[in-house]
Amino acid sequence: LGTPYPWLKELKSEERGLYLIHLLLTCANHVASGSLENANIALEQITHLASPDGDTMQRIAAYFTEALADRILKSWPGLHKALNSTRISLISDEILVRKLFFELFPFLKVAFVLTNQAITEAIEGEKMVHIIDLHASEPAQWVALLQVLSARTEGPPHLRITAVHQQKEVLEQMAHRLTEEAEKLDIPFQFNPIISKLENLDMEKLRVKTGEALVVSSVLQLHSLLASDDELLRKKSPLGPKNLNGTHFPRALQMSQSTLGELLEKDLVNGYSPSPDSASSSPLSLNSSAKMDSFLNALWGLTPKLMVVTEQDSNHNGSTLMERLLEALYSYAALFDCLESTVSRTPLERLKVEKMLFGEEIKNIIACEGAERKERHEKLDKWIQRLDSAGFVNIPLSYYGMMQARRLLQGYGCDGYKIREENANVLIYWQDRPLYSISAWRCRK
Amino acid sequence: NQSLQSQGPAPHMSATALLQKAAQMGSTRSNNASS
Repeated sequence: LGTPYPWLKELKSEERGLYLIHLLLTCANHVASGSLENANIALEQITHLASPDGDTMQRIAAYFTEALADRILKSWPGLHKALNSTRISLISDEILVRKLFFELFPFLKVAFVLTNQAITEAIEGEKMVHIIDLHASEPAQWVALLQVLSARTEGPPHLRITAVHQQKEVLEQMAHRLTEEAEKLDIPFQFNPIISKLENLDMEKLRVKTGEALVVSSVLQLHSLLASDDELLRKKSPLGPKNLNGTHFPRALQMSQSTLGELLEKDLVNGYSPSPDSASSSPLSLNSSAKMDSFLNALWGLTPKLMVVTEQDSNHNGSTLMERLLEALYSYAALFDCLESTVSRTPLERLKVEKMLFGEEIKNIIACEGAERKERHEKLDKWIQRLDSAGFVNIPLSYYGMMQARRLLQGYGCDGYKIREENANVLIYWQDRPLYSISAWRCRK
Repeated sequence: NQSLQSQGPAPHMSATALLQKAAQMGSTRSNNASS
């Protein structure tokens, strides 16, 4: 037993990190071109270096490796299904991980502050207010809004919250928490839970009435509607023994500091140059999705007074594996770096967020295609184009909201997090990398 | 305060910095090759 490559163990953190990047890109190239044997060799090498509780690059590499392996395995549906057939997903785990994400990062808190301030200003003076939460998983946002509304000079409105979520338990918890708070604050309140996936949402169930001020809030959810089966028509090159002409591994094994640059250069040049079939993902063209179009059209038909959208500000919806892998490497590197430099919780909680939230997202981005690939995060400019052509007008987020958000970030005591205004909208950064976008909309008359 | 500084583990290069360095090494190499 033991590693067949003893020198790997002696690499310093920085060398190991660079080598891991090289191996990941090499492996992804092999997976993309269908040369399974070479992909397997690269995966084996990575497993000697990657580790879910190592330094940041070791951690990231562990999840990208798992994702690449999962993608390979999917070409044998029988094997893939058999290996996942007894998998248990606990709702309690999912709730826990969402909660940890809310607590460990400032992103959702900033999004909630900006959203609530936009809502408060949009419904000033309104007596009947109806808020639709397209992914109701965190009561904290609405508890905060109830508190603001109870202090309104003109008195609180009648408030109805329609909450969409696919799990009954999540909605029950939310109903309990919000009803309790509304009673305490003496605000007339109605909770309308809808147990449904967003893609199957029946608009009739929203029970929108005339005369009420309608607000829509979507947090990290709209992108899932971009998933479609259309791409299945575009066949990937099948994995098979005829495709075994990848790079030669002995060369990589003799790697020294000087050849690493060459290898990486090759990787990155290969990675960034668009392959012929990625022409459709140029920044100007939108990935059209019938599901998204009809959903936005239906929302527009309800004429909301305000819609606030929070999305991951990443480009994880490219048509080729290499494009998505590179973009995802950069974004998840930033997210894992956030945890590395700010986390004050137990190592287990950090591990859970990394594995059960980010690890699953990475797996979805890398291993899935078609309707299964839900984590189709796109940049703000694409959302602006898409919402604009669906008949919505981008409206500026409140200045007062920005002040609150800035104060919240300062309270975090970590200068890596920044928020910046981009025209009317807000981007939340880790260092120089934008990670989340928040934008507000109303219907074009 | 010296005792506070020596408490933390030696800082690792961030993953973001590693990716930047990897990309840089690539582009430096190609510049050298073309000159």
